[in-house]
Amino acid sequence: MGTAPAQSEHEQRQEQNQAGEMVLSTHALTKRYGETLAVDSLDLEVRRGDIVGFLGPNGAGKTTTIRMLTGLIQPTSGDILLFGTRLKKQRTALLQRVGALVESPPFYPYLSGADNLRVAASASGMLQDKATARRIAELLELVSLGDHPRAPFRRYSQGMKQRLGIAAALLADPELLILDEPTTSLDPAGIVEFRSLLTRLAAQGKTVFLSSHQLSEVQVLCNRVAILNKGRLLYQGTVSDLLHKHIGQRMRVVIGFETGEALQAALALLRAEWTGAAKEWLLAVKHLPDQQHGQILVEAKTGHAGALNALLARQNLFASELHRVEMTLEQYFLTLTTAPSGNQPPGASDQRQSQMITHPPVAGVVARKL
Amino acid sequence: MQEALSSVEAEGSEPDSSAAHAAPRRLRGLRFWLGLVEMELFKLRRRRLTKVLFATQMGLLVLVLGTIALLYSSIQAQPLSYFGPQATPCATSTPGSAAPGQSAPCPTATPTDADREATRASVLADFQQYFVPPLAVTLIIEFTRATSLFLIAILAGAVIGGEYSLGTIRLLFSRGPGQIQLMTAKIVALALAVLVGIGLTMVLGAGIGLVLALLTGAPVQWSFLTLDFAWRSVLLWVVTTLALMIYALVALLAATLTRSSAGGIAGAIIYAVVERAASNLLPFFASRLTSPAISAFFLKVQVYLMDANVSALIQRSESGPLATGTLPATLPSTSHALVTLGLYGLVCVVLSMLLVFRRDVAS
Repeated sequence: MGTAPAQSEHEQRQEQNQAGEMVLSTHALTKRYGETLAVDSLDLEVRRGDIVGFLGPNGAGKTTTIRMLTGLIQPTSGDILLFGTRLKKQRTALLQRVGALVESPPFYPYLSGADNLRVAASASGMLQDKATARRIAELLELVSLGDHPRAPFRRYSQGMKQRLGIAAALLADPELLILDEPTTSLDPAGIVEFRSLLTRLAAQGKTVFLSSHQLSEVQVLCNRVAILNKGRLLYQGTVSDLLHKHIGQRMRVVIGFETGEALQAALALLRAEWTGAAKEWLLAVKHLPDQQHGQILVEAKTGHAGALNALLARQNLFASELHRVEMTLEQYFLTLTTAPSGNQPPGASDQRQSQMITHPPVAGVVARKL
Repeated sequence: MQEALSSVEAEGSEPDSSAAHAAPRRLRGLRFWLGLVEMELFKLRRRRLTKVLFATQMGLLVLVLGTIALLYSSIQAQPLSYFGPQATPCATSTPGSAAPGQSAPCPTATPTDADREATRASVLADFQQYFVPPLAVTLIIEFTRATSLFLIAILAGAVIGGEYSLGTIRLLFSRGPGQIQLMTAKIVALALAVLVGIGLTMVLGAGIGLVLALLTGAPVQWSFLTLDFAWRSVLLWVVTTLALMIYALVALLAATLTRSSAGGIAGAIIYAVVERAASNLLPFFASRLTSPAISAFFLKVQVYLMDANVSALIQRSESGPLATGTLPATLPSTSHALVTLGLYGLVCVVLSMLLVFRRDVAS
């Protein structure tokens, strides 16, 4: 699956959904455990057809939020609206329109995969008829468990358990899928199949609310993203908006020199300029040590690559290597969730974020020659 | 894979597999709840524990009936002289006929063969009634009452607490069922399972008794098979089920409180054992107390215990051909037992519901 076509599809879907039905929304949703504020005044909005990535570091409150959305725990305050109706008001009817996979999928160890799905079907209000039996068989095939119809769940591998959890979430043909780390324990082929399935479901108009630690997955799959940290919503919007408006306002450049002296001179110059004449566009400077004398990572406003080059050339410092490093959602996420304030607005990209300097950002990202 | 996906996606839009469109709104809730009961029964049927507990029950019953039949056989095999009464000393001796401190044999003490035959028949009849219907049904119920209490506690504790222990409570609650719907479905499914279990025990126990009668040559009076016997057996069956379900409700409360199978099972069994001990000890203490007021209080407390009321309900249903003798005067009345057990059940259910309502479903 290519990124560019997928994003294009997402953008189209986003435009279509701008005035779409609100499938899930929360208003000032709060959950407190004693003194601990797990979720703090959360206002989420998910429209029909959206694939929303729900991101946050461990302990951010993602699972607590998902448990509240699926009726497992009661909010301390605030409201949850599913399909425009308060969850408290019509719990059973509303949750029957939702397919959920919350944490590791819980099933009965003494029942087979098919029998576990039968139980899940009854709990979803489905009849135990031939149509349900056929659907169960097809879902087991879909998640590659069709070869083990009678094996008890206790003999399943972790990956098989996760696949059965996905099948259970899809069982009642839900309008909204709430998935908490759905690709955990899946093998690479399973992950690819699952992503393909989600894309197809979204194309059918299904809405997906996906909590994941795999930010690359979110970047590829989701058209919207909600970022949570310490129980508070840091960002909510489209992925393309985040990438273009916020991440796109910055560029990262890695500069290499032939000698250590040249590198040190360039580092001193850039650090001086960072607080001096170039402070308007030079956002961060960091020395990246490696086996030789290292490299310099510079973060600057987009469109200032030439100015950066000129700045160095004026001091007779000629780079032997100059790479532009694309900032990914992952890096943006880390920047956002490890920032000292913890909840600063992502639009404030021209603020001086010294945190960027101390954060090693280049591991695992795609670099291209300028 | 792709074909399956397309098929599932197409199938997914079929309205007949979704509760949202199939039935009129007012019937949907009832149908949904009945579906939950069916689901619980399905899980009970598939559980190995259910089969093990029932097999244990039947095994113990076979052991008890078999032992009685074996005793019957061994008594039957005894020579007639075995049943001759020993020469018994006369209660009053004539003066001068024996030395002081000694008793003289009665002149008419030697039994005839007819007397011995009558004694043997009486002893055999005593043993026979315990494994040959109709009275065998009463014995089976009494046996069931003693053993099922623990088996029901184990089953109920596992059924309710197991959802917490396995985490499957998340699977169920996140799909829509409300707490009341789910808990009542579980209680009804358990009651049906207990009803079937006790019914099967009665039928199979009676069948085993008849087989043992055939094997031992014990006479069977088939005239017991009347409508009155059938009706009273059914009544006893249902009453015993309802009475013993109280221990399932104790297990429900314990399992909900501890959120585990072990807690549910242990809670119900400990309660049953402690209560049964108290039920036996209270009259004993009451008889030894010098203060009549405290003694009366102890006896009054005893009739409000579960065990006494379960006994009362069952024993008062053992009527007609199933009656074993006169009932104790201290046995609570049927209405007293019904009200008392009803209140116990209500307290267990309400407390369990409150706990489920007030608590979050955690991992």
